[in-house]
Amino acid sequence: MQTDDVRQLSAWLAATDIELLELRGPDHHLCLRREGEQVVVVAAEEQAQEHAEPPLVLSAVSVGVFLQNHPLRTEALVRRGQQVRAGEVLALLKIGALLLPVSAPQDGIALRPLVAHGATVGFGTPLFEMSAL
Amino acid sequence: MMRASPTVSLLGTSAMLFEAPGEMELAVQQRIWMLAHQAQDWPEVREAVPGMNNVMLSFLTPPKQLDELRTRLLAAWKSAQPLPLQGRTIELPVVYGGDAGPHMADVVAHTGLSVDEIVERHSTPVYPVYALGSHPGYCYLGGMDPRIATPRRKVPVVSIPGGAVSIGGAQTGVSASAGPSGWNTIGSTTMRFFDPAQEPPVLLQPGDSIRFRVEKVIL
Amino acid sequence: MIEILSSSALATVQDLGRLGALRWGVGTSGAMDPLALAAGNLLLGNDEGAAGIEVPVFPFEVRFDADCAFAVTGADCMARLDDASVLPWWACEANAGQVLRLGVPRQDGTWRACRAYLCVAGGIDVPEVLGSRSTQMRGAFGGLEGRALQRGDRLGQGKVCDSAHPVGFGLVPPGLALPLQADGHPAVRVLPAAEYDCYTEASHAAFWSQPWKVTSQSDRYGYRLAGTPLESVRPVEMRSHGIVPGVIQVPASGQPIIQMCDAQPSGGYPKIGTVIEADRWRLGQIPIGSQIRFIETTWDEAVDALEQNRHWLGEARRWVGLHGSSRART
Repeated sequence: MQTDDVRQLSAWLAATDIELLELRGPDHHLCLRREGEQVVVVAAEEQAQEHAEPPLVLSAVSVGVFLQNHPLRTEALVRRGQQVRAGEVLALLKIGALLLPVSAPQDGIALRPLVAHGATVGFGTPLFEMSAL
Repeated sequence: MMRASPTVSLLGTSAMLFEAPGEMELAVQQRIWMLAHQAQDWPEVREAVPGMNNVMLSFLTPPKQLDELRTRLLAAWKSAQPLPLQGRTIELPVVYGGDAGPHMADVVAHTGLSVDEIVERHSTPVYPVYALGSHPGYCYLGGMDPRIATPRRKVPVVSIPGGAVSIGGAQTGVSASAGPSGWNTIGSTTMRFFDPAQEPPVLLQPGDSIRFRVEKVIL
Repeated sequence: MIEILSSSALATVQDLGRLGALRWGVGTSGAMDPLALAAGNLLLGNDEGAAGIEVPVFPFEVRFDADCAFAVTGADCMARLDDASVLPWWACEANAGQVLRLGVPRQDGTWRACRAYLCVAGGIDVPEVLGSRSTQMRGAFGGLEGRALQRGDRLGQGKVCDSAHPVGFGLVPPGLALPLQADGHPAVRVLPAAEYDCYTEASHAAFWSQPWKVTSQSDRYGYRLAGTPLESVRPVEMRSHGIVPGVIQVPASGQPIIQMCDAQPSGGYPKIGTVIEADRWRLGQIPIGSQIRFIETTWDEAVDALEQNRHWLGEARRWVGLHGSSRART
């Protein structure tokens, strides 16, 4: 597949509301994923792996309020598809004055939050999904 | 501002300010010393800090009963006898004029006196230390000859050195460290007024006195 | 040891201030945002009054020469530890050799602020002078040699109270928990001072209702404000008297100056009011060039505001303590 073709397909995908485009052919395998305004090329192996293994689910260690961003900021702590390291904070759990981390237990890719920003959750509530690398 | 009766006011929730009425004079300042000495022991007070015929009471915690404290303060003033603090007299050698006194010419211009006359009138009195403030170790002095009074400068100087001997309005003083000043610097001395390693860290306290000894006059 | 890598940053070592030395002409100094310093210390298990580094100018960089728990509170300066992002108001761990970089505080977040505080486990270890580790610039004592920090300076840590104190958690800042605004501008509460009645009715109205701009001639000594000049009914001659940080003086120009932490402890200018002690942390975080509103308050409200601050700190202390003990059990 030529670079120009990839660029053209990316532009086309960006203009739609389709999230994922996967093209398989005899000598090519291309995955394009839309993230907000951008389109990223996802390594085919990654994409295969994503479908092959179930995602990791991070659960609440306490009752609290689930936050996608730090209270001082307006942007989310992580973007969907972002590569994250073990220990990286993906979201927060607010209990009283305290902020506890929802952290990646290992290296991987952040997928999505499982509850709404600002939702009150109980102990054990699934909060965030990520995939291993 | 010549007030007829004492005033009590607030400095936020951090302190209370008491200002004595009448002329600025030593007898009034001695009563301020007595008031400060008593108020220092009050449970609300962290420090009773004398100023020029006034005293600031800084709070340990803001008192719940503000009016009661106000009443107590006014009553204490009414019954305050002058506290005749007798400290020591320190003599400061001063080089007047020249580079040591960059604003001597302004004092000459305002007063109409010669440099020698100004030096004579400045170095004759014994100046009681009324209070400390402004910067570490700085003494507010009373007793300056009103004939050498010169208004504060319209444009303050960004930095005058420690040891600068200056006139501001009807007062005189000596800087204890480099810093900005709106006063008129007429001379310089080399005394050290503050050392945080000493106890107390100051050379002079209310009740002590200063006299200026003429070391040299540069015309 | 922490090594300062930045130059000309105007950063100083501060604790909660030098109290009890007004009698010698020594002002309080101390952190311009004492709540941020106290919170940073709480996060690390330090005494609230342990010394930290106040950073008013950015970027600011330090290198940790040894493993060290630290927290950055105050303004959100998008801190990074080597190439990893560091959350604000968060207890973190640095390894020996890592570099912490504080960037220019962002102004597009949910709380605008301008000073950051770098706290370390055990506090910054400099000698106590007259009961405090705060830097006294005039007279050059306290903090590190009584001066701002320079590139190459090395600061030690005090004794760590609790080496098992956890990291990896944070606090919701008081800028969000205790908001105070008037017409969209940050606001502080003021009690009128002795010379309040010397000003015209129009000046009173302007003082309370107009936004005042914090000009670029504003620093730890004082904030020079710009707005409609205040006019006195008659000329006011003052005698030198004690003042405290928060006192709002009005010089001949009519443009007010709020005395701040390094201000002279005495003054001879008329004063229209005093910012209440409970709101001084808000003052310390108002960015240069922004506007501030004054809110008239009462003695009882001002005392209650102090109690609210104390309560916030108490809650923070309680939650951090609970977290610490729950971690110890697992």
